[in-house]
Amino acid sequence: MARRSGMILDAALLIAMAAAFGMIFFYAPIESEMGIVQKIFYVHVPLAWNAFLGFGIVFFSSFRYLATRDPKWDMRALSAAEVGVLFTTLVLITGPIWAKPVWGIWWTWDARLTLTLVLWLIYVGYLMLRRYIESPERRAVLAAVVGVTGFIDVPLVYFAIRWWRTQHPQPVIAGGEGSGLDPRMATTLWICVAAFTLLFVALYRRRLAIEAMRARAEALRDDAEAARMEGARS
Amino acid sequence: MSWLLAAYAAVAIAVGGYALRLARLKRALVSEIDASKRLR
Repeated sequence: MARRSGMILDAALLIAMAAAFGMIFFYAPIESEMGIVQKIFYVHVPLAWNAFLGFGIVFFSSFRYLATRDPKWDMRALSAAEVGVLFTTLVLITGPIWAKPVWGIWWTWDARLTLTLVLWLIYVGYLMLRRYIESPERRAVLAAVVGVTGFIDVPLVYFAIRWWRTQHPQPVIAGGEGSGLDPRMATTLWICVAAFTLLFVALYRRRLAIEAMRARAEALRDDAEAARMEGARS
Repeated sequence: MSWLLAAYAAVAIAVGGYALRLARLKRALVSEIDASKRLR
């Protein structure tokens, strides 16, 4: 059943990605001021929104872990954090590649960019913390505390361009009066958001399956060790 | 155009690399689980 749903998801992902890139190149108009480089927008924004989704899952799963101490929530948090970090890394790579030809600089320490870098550091720290703690229970509890508290940066990143004057452009979606996108650009963006959400889910499912397999391998190893000790005693 | 392709290539390489890493990890765990089952 899980295998079949995985295959359906992969097929949907391939179709959605083909549609998204087809629309980027053949349907969405070229922006008048920035030119073709503006098309980075169609991967940059969906990556950022899905990174937020990932960190939202980390927050919720960490909270559930602290409430229940059920290891499945810890696995979910870890898997979402890893994919979220991958997506945030790509936001931090595609952003400067877009900024250089448009702003003339790779990077500036404005609120949106700086808070995004802080977000990346928080979740890289979360993954590093997990590597340095031996005890599984202690590791899960401390990681969950970081997973819950670290989420505070997500709304700060989202609202940074609304609260402060930034070099980063003002919002074009839900940005209020004077903002907005050409309808063909908006349609392309939503298809790209759908495609990258499917990509997020596909990677998250694979990562989660690996955590479940790792737990199974560890249980089998412990059983084998217990049987060996039993054999040595008798 | 080169900036756009650079950005898209970065995404493709990173996502592809991560997916390959997950596939390798899965293969290693499948072998480990099979080996443990045979030992039982």
